[in-house]
Amino acid sequence: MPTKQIDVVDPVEYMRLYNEAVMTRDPLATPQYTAQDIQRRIDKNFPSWVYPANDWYDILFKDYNVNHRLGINIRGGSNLMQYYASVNYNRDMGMLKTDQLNEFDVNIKNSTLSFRVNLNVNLHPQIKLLYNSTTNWDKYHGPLNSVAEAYQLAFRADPVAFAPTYPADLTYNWEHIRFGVRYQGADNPYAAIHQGYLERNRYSTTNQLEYIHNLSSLVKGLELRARVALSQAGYYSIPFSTKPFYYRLQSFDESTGEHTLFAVEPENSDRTIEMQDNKIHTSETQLTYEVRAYHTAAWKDHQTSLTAVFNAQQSTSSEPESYLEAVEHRNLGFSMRGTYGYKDRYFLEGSFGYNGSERFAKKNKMGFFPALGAAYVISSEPWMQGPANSWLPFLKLRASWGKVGNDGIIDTPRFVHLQEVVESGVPSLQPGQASANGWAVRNYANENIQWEINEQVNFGLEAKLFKGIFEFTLDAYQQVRHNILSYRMTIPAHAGVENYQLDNIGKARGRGIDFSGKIQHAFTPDFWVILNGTFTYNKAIFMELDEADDTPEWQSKIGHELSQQVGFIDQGLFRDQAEVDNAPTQNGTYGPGDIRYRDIDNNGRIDLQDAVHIGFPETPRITYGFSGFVNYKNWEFSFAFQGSGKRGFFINPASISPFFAGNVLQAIADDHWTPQNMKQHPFWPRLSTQSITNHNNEENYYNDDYDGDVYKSTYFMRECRFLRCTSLELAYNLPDQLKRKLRMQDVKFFVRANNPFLISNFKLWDVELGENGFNYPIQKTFALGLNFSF
Amino acid sequence: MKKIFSMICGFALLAGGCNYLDIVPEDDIQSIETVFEQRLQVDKWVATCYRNVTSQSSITSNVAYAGADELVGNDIHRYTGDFAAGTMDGLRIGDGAQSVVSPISDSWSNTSYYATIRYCNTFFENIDKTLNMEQEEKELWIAEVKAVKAFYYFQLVRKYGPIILLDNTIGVEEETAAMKMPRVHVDTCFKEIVRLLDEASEVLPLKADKEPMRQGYFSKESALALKAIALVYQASPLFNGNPNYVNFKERNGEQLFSTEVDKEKWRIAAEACDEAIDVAVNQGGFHLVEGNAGEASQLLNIMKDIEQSVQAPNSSSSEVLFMAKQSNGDPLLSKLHYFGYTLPYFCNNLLLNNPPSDGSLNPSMKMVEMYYTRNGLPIDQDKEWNFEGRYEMGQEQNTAYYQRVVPANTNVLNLHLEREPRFYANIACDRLYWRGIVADQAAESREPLIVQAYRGETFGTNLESLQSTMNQNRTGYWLLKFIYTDVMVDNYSKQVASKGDTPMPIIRLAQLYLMSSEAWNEYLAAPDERVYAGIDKVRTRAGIPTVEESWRDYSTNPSFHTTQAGMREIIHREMAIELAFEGQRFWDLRRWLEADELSEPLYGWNVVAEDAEGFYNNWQGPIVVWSQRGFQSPRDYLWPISSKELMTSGIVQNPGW
Repeated sequence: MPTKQIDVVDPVEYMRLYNEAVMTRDPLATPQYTAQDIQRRIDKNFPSWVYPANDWYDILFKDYNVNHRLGINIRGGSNLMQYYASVNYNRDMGMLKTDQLNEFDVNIKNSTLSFRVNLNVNLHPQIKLLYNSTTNWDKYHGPLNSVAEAYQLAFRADPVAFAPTYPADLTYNWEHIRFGVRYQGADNPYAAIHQGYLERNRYSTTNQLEYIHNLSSLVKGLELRARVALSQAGYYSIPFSTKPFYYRLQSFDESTGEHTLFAVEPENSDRTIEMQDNKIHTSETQLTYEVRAYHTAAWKDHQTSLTAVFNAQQSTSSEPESYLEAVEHRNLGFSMRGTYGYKDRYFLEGSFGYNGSERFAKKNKMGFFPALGAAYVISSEPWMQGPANSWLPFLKLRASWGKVGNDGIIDTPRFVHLQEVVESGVPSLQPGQASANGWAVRNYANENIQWEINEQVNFGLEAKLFKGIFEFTLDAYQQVRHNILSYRMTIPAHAGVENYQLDNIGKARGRGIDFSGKIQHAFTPDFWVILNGTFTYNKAIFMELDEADDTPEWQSKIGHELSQQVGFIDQGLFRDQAEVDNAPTQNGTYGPGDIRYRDIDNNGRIDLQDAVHIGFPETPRITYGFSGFVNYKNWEFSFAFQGSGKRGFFINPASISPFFAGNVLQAIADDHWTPQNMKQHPFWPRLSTQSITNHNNEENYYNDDYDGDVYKSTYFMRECRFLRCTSLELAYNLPDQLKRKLRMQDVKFFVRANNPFLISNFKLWDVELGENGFNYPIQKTFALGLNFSF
Repeated sequence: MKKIFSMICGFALLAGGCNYLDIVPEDDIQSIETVFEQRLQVDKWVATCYRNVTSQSSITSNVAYAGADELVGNDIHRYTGDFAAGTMDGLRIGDGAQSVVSPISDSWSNTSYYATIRYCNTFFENIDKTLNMEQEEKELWIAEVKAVKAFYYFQLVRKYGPIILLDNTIGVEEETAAMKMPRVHVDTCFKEIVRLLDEASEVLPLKADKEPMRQGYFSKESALALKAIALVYQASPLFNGNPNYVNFKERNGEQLFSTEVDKEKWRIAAEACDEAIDVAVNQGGFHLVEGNAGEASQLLNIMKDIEQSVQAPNSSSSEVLFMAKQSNGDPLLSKLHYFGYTLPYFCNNLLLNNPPSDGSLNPSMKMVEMYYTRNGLPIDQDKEWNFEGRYEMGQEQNTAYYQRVVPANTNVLNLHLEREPRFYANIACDRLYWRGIVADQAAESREPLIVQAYRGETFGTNLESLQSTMNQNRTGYWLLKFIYTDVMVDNYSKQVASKGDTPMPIIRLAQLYLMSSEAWNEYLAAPDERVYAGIDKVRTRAGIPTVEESWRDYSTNPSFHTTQAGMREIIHREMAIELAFEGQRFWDLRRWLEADELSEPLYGWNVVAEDAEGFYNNWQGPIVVWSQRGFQSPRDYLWPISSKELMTSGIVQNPGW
């Protein structure tokens, strides 16, 4: 079940609020629902399909399901060869209620089967051959819509306009399912789930062969390794569907109980099941080679090591959309790393990587990335031995500097240095010709683009204290990204460049601290405790950026954090028409009860120039976690928590806009602007049947016209922090005697809860769902289990 | 030793590695250079240059269709829309919802006209490299592309006024600063449009002389017609010495509008109209659609002429000079067409329940009253027409003349009686005969269907209240314009494919005639034959008397048409009627600076009433059916440029935005 159930109004309240939304905007309008419509749903004197009041969530979802897990593994071998093999099988049933309405079955069945084989063969005292193979296969059978989609449908669908299904009337009385609908194309979540099903098979295999040759006989301490790995993954899914029959209730005689239905586009309906066209089949293959030479030496107080690695990787996937996309992805690297240690106290390290990517022009294909490091183990100094050693057995200081290259997270265009001109259909103007072939220039060549470089400096401290009861590592770092690969957003529109052009733009700097610590202690041999904790602090800012020349200074992102939001400052809601008339011009069809914004540059209108930096960055600077494990005799108890510090959080108002996005949140019903509730800052402005973005365009976060930038507003901004318990588990191991009696190696009963609770100052929904409360929530699960092995 | 070993090992592999990364045969991939190597590929480039013309014919993307006061549509079209056609953004412009943070129908963007203009410029810059083409053919294709570039400039200018003119493609490797360009004086923009069209029309052949597969591109007639229309816009009050724009300057200080009214612009426009008409009629063989004779009555023949004047089955028409089409015959694409919204939705009659339409984009009362009386006069200026009693019921007396149009011995609203043929041809109203074929019946045996619009009746709604999110007719009228009345309503979207392509008119001869009248009237001190000639041609075809006959013989103001001001009003109204629903009124009201009236609410009848009395508001006149309207003058005369784009390109915003 969801970690936090989202709270929406009941169907009767929905109708009342709908009427309010209509009337408050246009007093001349007629209410959508008559008093009788509403009263009938309260009285419930008639069958529920006559005056539907659907709780779609309840209609679609159940609260629990049963999963099965089964695993077998064997291991063994001789001096010549060792082996390990395992088979695991899982079977999950979904959370959807799936009644047997059709002959075919739409129940969710998800089976996973995985195999694993490891084989080590000693060909020669100096030569070893390792072979690993894993294969996973999962088979899904279930409704056309995923659970997450069904969840959204449940909150998007109209709760009162139609029943999930209707009983037969005199005309439409043959055997078929009569789904209710308001108009063609509208969503009946029940029909969406029951109209058909999907079969999906997903597979992945990895095979790896590694050859290890100890060449100490040739050169002392030299080892050579060669590795080839091939992995393949893919899936195919085939949808099967009927064309559901949709009906509206045409008439219902309250005295006789007779009804007639109205068929909505019956000519497009068919109850027989057909395979659908939108089959998907994709697969991808990746091949990796690596050769590694490794040499270690030690004499007197000196230790050295030298590694040279050559590797290459290539991958392809099915269904490319153009010639260039079909070209293999290839990477190539040669790297060396040398270390030197003196007396186990002083360490030096140097390395470089010489990497190649196929994505850049010839002159920029290869990149050189060096790194240096040094460490000092103070605790190994002779003067640290003795009494200090018991409370500080280990202390190490580290420092390093290095560069890493990145050839791009952004995969479009495929080759930055090449023009990409593809054929593309265009509408035809010629008689008798429906469409014509044309061209589309998807990319203009950029010969100069090169590797993005990430330069990092790190200082570290590692220590163990009090006989090793407490240990921790602490790192402070600075990362500077240069030549960031990103799109040029400042090409003026009149240039007519349709697709964004990739370039090396900008510079960003991150600074932070990572801490992780561990306490472990055994009070008695069968009572011991382990506690782990992590803490990170990170602040990343823009140092250089491609910004429009006329960006107002109060909007410039330079010097601000990467996730710092730019948006409009609200001044509460308009109280009356007079205030609207005297205020700067805003965007949208707004009036009293809609959000008012501050005109930062005092030019008499609200435009993008009025956006400023608002709130805390959306990525929290601080994240932390802790977990623990307690063993007492045969009992085990463990827990894990995760949390984050203060951050800016934005509700996307369009996604919860009543009636437009779906149902009405209880929070909106409880606190919205009305002439009787003229608060400056209620949770929601004046109701409307339209999206809030029609009244306040400024709330349209993902406006296309912003060219990739997002502008939010302070009205729906919150500060939030949270701490989530991610798991709790209590287990009991059967005593050894009993196990022996049962001839078992291990028997364990457990009770486990995943995500059982959350502490946050934002109460409406689980904050990790982000801005849209109707997103499919993180699930909390409770499990009872029994593990045993022979 | 060990180092040397690994070095050798590494570099040996690396040497091979350089080739390992060179996997694209860089000279053999498609590029602008390879496209322009051969004729066939360049031909596809020309098609790309024309790709933005088609959107003009889409009821959803062309905001001018539903953006004025001609049609009333429900919220379902504003916000829900159709998966193929999208939302009908014109309706939101009518609501006054235009905005500067996210402009509706934003054409000042890198994916709209400026993108296609870039394709045009790339064409001009590379066409000389094409090897297997004769110079003569190159000249023809250049002319075709020049004309469409002018078409895009024109679309931009009438939305934004002064625009940025682009003679060359801007190199993408340039710094942003070097890409910036200023907007230029609106007269310079018009001059460039005229220059392109002059050069194009020199070369372009007549439409009939073009290869069939190039006839959809501009021909001599349509290039000259576009030039004439552009010049009429340039002479119109919006662009000609508009006092609102006296201080409108680009940020470099350049004046963007002329400060003085220049009457000469009207003369130039008038002559361009006459030249375009002359070429189209005397060389191209175009003429107004006239002379249908196969119908049961004289009135029905005229109505057939009127119906066909905006139609181009199989892309052929004697009247439409330039047209664009949407895919035809696929029910799923119905919503790209007018008929996907305007044909009635028979929610109360199961047997007829298969129209491709939701029937919920409907003529406003404004347009119903706009049409003339049968004497060719506005309803409030006709001595013979019952203006006072127009919201009461009456019966048709002249039943022979109105056979199969107005039923005999039937109570009909007086407003629907004694109107001009264009009214009956274009608007379907309550208690009159429906003109089309509804279901599969042989035409002879068919008893014409009567439009019954009350709730629960054949054409009426089945909902008890007005519901904005439903496909409900808001006004009680249906639009017939553009509908092929010999195609069954039942399954219309499939059946209409029997007509072949069914393009929408972009430029038609009737518009040139009316613009010629308009331009001469504005230029001359008092109207003369040059003013009356064009408008009377259109009126004659429409089956109404000439201007002089109508006003002299039937009007309450018999000398109205003899003054410039009177003729201006007459011509404007004639344009509103003749070009109604064609996406012209939206622009015409703007160029005349008469768009303030777009703020008025829209009227219709009480469609949820179950009887005549309720439907017709107890004879008290029409009721407001759409009140959310807004035209802010002078701000809304020009489109806003998105404020994001202003920051990027450093150009000036349009006044008021």
